[in-house]
Amino acid sequence: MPSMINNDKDTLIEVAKLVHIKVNDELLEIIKTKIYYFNIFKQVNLSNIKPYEYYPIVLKSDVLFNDTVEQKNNNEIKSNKEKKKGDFFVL
Amino acid sequence: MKSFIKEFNEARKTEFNSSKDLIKLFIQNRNKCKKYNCGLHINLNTLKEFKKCESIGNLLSGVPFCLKDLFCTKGIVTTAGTKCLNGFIPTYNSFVYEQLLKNGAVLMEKSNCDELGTGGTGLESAYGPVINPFDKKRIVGGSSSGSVVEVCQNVCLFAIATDSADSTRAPCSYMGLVGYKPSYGLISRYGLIPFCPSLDTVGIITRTVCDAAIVAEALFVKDDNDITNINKNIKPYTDIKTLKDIKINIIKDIEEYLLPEVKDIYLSNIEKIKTKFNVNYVELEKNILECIGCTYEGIMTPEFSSCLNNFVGQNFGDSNGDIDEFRDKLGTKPKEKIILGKYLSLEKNIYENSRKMRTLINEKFNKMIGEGCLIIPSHSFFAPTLKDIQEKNIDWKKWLVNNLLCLANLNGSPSITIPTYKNGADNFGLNINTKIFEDQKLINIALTLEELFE
Repeated sequence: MPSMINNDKDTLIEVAKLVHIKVNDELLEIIKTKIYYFNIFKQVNLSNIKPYEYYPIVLKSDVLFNDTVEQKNNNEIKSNKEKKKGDFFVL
Repeated sequence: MKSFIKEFNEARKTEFNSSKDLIKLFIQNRNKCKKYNCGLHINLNTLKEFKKCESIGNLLSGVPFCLKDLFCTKGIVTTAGTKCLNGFIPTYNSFVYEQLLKNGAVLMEKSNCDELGTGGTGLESAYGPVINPFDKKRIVGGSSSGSVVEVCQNVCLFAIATDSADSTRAPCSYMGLVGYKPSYGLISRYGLIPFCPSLDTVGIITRTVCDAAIVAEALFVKDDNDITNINKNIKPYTDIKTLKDIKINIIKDIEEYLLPEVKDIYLSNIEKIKTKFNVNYVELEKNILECIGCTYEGIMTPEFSSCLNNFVGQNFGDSNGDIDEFRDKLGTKPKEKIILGKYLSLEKNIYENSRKMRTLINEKFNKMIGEGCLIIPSHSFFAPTLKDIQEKNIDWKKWLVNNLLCLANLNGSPSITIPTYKNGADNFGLNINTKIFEDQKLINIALTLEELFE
């Protein structure tokens, strides 16, 4: 279950520094409240549930297209290298 | 079946001496709509491009459209509604824009949206809020706020937006439009400024289901630039038809979460459906319903925080790549999500539990859809007032139904919202869901119900 031990103001200020954002008390309070809401997961038993994997659909499509994820990733890296400056939004 | 795109094509042939007269009407509407702050960058070559596109000769040639400002457009400023990208001119076109140009569609303007896609109100753009044309005291919904106003006010016949939680379908519901989120992976997101890559989907905004099918068919094309893109050979418009038999599932007692203003409308909608089709009631446990919002936040914020690192160390428009300067320019919503996302990626338990909840929620959701479809209310209330949003006057329990739209994003499955009640600023609709890649079935069900509620 999520631990709330580190959900204090100082920890959040440290996190904000890590991401180069200046925070005020109002913003910290909003974030603290949002973190507190995650306690709602306690009402569900998640012990035997597998975490959702990103790109499960690609794995299925790879079977269909007789291609591998590695090949796809390599192709993407290659094509990204070929792109010009500013082409940073490639997913 | 009703289609404004087909009517547009007919009008060009018969009612107008010159096609130019017709497109000029849309340009006039664009000028009138400046007061709603729905457009960010006008395409000054509209007339010229229209003339060039006329000869392409398919359903979308010459058809005016608007594009959410999250999509890269070569030579046209792309800001994603943030001051951080002020003056940024992409060197390439997003897949969606390129595909629409190939089909001959004509860009009217880039649409205003909540900053970087964060926020569901239409109030969060760094370039000012989008105004509700029916009632300026009410919100439009977001993040695709500008796009829905443009379709609503006839600046264009369709708009391309994004849908990562409900960003296309929710504002469409507030404004009485059709909002379609296809299955995850069916439309390439190449050149889309990412918000949350495991949830981001291209969204289509139209007035009718048939128009949504026409646009979707033009975009369901394989693109190797997006690793998640897949071609399932779905032809939504070619194969569109009404159905005689639909297996419809509805969540038991969900009306208890609706405000009285929409509860009666929802119940009468269901009664009308029952006159034609069999309806089956399914259960959704209260504890799961209450966890949907946090599951979304637990997945979205770490991904968003990670995506925003793309902007560091590179020149984007006026920005010199300095991280401190860049992040100072951000609004409160993106700042909040970046910090929360970073916190969650350090606090592994919460992120891990969010992913586990996503698995569990998807299992439940697919079970509720069953062999047919799941129909849910599109909202618990009509478009709220700015005051209600700012003062948080709406009970949090009433927001739970709105979170149901997010199920399709967590699951990657297709979802469409169709209007069933329109009265100025008071609009309501039904949201229809099928299993992943059952987009054809979804479109056909939506068309059938659209005709039922006509």
